[in-house]
Amino acid sequence: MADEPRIEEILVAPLDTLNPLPFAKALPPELYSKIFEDLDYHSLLRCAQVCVLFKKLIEGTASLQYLIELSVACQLDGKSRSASATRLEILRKHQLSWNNLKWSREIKIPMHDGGLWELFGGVLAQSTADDTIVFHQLPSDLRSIPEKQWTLSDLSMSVRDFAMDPSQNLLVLIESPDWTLSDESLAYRIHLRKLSDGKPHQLAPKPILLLRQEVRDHMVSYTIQIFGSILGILFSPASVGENELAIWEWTTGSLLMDTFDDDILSFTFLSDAWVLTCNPMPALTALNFRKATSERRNVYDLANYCHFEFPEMDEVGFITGIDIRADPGPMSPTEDTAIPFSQDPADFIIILTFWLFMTGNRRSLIHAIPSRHLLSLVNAEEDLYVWTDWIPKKTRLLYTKQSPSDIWVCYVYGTKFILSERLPRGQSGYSARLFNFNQLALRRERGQDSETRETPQGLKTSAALRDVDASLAFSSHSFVLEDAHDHCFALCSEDHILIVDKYANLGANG
Amino acid sequence: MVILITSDNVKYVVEKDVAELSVLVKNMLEDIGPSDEPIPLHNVTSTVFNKVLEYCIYHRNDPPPSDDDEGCASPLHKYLASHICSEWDQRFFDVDQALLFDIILAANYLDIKTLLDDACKAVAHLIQGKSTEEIRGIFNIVNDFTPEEEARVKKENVSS
Repeated sequence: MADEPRIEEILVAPLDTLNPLPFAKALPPELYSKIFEDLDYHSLLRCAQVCVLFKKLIEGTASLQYLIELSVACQLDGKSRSASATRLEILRKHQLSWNNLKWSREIKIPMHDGGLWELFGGVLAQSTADDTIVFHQLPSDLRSIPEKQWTLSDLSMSVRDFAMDPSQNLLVLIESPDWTLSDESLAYRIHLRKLSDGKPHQLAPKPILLLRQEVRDHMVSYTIQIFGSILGILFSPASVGENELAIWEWTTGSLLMDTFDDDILSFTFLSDAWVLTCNPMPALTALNFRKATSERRNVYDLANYCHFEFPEMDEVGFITGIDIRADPGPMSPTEDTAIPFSQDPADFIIILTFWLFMTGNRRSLIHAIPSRHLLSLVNAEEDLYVWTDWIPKKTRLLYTKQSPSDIWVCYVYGTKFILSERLPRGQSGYSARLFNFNQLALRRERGQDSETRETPQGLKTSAALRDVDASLAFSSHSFVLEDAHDHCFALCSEDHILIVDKYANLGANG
Repeated sequence: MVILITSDNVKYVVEKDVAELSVLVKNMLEDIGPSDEPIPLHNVTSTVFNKVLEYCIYHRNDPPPSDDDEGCASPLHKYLASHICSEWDQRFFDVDQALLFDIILAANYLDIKTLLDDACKAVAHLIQGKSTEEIRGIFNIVNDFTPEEEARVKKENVSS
């Protein structure tokens, strides 16, 4: 290399090289701000406690305040070119709208009668009786998302179920099996299409994923979840058969894990390596699908797992069903430069519902579990956690009078969870309560206002589970829609609350 | 060739393209026109300038930094857009804190954007994960909050 320093002449020997300078000259304030821009949330808050100047600099710099607010709101910055101050203002308004449940407008969407629907990434999709899917991108005035509608009608197949991810322009269609085939060649056919036009997806090397159907069963129900490049489908045949969970990397077409057992009741992704399943014990089992193989194996024969046990549930009631749901939002950050920020998919709440039958009454028990909590445990060396190791303090158990719907299942998004609530006798309309488990926002709120939040009426920790100190903090707000019917269901997404009113229309509040 | 003289009277003869990585020097050269006149660098000692020169020579062929993210892109945006620090850069900034701060001051004075960006990142890396007291140590800063103010600041930031 010819890149040696070109010092050609030294006039005076530099004396101060022998004496290092007294440490830390003061920098001009703007240079401190510049350094702060490369810090994370926690370090920024600590810097604000260093001295008066630092505090003023951090509080007075829009880009730094935006960074702090993004972390508190569990949001990631987008590719927007607008000024930090503008985005900070939008973010604050967005947070305020959710905290006060104030929506900018209400739209009514007619319900179609195709029997299939999906809500993901702010797009609502419904099938119609003639195998057409109608898509509706729900608008957000604050996040500059326009309202858009389109339909896909020429899918040339009978669709049994579908899922989508607008951020990847992905539509996953499960085709109704060809029953004329012999038992040996019977297979589930999963099509990877573009959400925009229904054509094969350009990132999928195999446009159709195949999985052998072990049992000739016409009544299979499906649960589909897309997690970035990962696609998971739980096949649940109605007849005696085996529930089967298959996980693919759809962008390579490879089957990462194929496991079966009737005990796999429900699943949700924890990360791009771990999937969480629940069984009737009850217990939760996290499986590492990156360390699994495409060989079809019983779930109890898999090697890389982590079990989470529950306390004795007998006294609580007879468990008639368990379901696990989470929606971290799209994995891939939006390319849309108009959108200022979006949900951080690394932080979400997992809602486990126990449907109970107790003393003649149907009740449900909700267990809210932060994704980060479980992930930190599965990444530790242990493979079994008794309930005292993982439930107290870090999770929340809530008894509710109303149960979440087992059909309208998009009642959880990010750290939010929405549940119907009974109105007092005589009052007409529909009421729901929005829960938020965002711990950072709650801690900050409590720091400024020491008032503790009350547990909403009708929500009690079960007597039998009284010793289980599942006391994870949450905030909650309820609202009433006077013009809606009773017996509606509530769903939520990044910018919307949707009320499914079977006796009227599907309403969306943006 | 350009002749530069540091504050402690050390004379450097530097190739023009390297010297012009400093916007200050570039502007001065444009102002004085073709001349052999040495350019004085009042605020930089030779100790610091040796480091600055080392950086400029290594990075002389880098594409010029773009200004379009100035003022509008968020920190994260900038972080993602910025190049991943090379091993050379990591070694370069592995110096004592006093020198690191002097490099920042020199880069600011000489107006060398990439060096300033990288040096600020190196300092941020030092601070990341440190306690408030440790950060005071790094910057050699005295806690000037009144006890009441300090209590209030701590309460506001409970989550840290």
